[in-house]
Amino acid sequence: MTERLQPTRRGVIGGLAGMTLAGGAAAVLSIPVMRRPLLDAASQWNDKVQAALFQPDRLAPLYQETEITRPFRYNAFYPEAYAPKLDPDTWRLGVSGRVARGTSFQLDDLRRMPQEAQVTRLICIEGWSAVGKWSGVRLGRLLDLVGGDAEARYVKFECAEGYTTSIDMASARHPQTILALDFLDQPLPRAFGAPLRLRIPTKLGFKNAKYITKIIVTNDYPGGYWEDQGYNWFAGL
Amino acid sequence: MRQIKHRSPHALWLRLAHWTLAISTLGLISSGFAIFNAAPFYDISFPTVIALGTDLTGALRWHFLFIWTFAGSLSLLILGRLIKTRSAPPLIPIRASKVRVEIVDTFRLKLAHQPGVYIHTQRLLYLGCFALLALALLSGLVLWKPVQLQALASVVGGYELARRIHFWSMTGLGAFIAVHLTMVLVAPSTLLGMLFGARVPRSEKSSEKS
Repeated sequence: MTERLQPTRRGVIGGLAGMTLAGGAAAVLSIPVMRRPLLDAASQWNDKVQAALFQPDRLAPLYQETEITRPFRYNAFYPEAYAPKLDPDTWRLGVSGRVARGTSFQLDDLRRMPQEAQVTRLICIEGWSAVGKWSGVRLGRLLDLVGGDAEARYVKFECAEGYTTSIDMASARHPQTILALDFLDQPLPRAFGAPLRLRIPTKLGFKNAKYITKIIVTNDYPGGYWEDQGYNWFAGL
Repeated sequence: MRQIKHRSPHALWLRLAHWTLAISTLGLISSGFAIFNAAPFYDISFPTVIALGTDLTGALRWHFLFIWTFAGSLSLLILGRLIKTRSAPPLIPIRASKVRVEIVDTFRLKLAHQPGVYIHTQRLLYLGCFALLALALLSGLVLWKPVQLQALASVVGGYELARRIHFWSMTGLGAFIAVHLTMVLVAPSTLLGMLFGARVPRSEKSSEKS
């Protein structure tokens, strides 16, 4: 036997109200200017959740050298032929902003500092991933050296070709966040950011700035090349 | 007649959770198409017209908005089911012999729909749907936080395997939705129930025969 469904007045009113609300919301959100505030708010909420989830002492998984992806993939917003060609002799790294001693480093200065190596997985926001080996100077050590304000909120990176990005201070001081000078035990090739790139295995690939020329410690939200176009800012893994 | 007890198989919280989950899942799948297109691991490409957000930037913004409504409504549905176990139609037991007979009946259009009772095939499909939703959620968590949630990542088999699991749980959900919508076409009154709610006279013991 089949029981008959009996609609109720309250149920029908609720259903119609819900459908009107959903339809109205869909219509409003079909206009780009109207949906931007909602999507921005969602992205900022995601920043907050990720900052809360971030464990300063949790290390990214390490891999064996046999697991390294070869050949490693080139990736940028321009073709490889346009990648900057920097002269290692005249290249300088400027560190400024909320630091006690604004300093300019030469490549040799960085080479003389203690080097840390890691075999980690680089994960691109596009979805693909690749395992590589990078070595260089811990960013936290460099920031200590110049008397960086550890309470400051952001560290911004400026690159030779105009690329910029920024990260939170907790991630900047993570033990695996390094300013890489070498890739696969050789000086960084041009395609992978020579002479200096950021290697931060707790963030998505686009945070791993290449061809770095300036590091700025700041409390003002610095955004970045992709972040300003809508990529989530925290972009933590 | 005045004292007949009624029960509502589609309470307001249930309808709200169902439609929020439906919209979230469709939003996640269609924005997922554009995300897949950015770095496809199979030799396919989803048409942009069905890809919410169009390109990777827009698609990710939608995807990471809908994860919250998805997680919220899915939790509400599961929690509601656990709390209302006594009034909700049972999802077990499932007997293969029953499922076989029911499927044959369905194709002969001999389907008898009884509000408030799940036939064995429905139980199988709804349990499968919950399993796929959970799998999509867990593999998605691994893709989102492969470092912070590395314990979960290693259970799932690592980041790259999680991408495949995420893709296939989405495909499975797509198949469920196709069957689900077909059944709605076969029994349109169920759509009215899920939209507007309804009540059915409460029988002392809901019979299980079809």
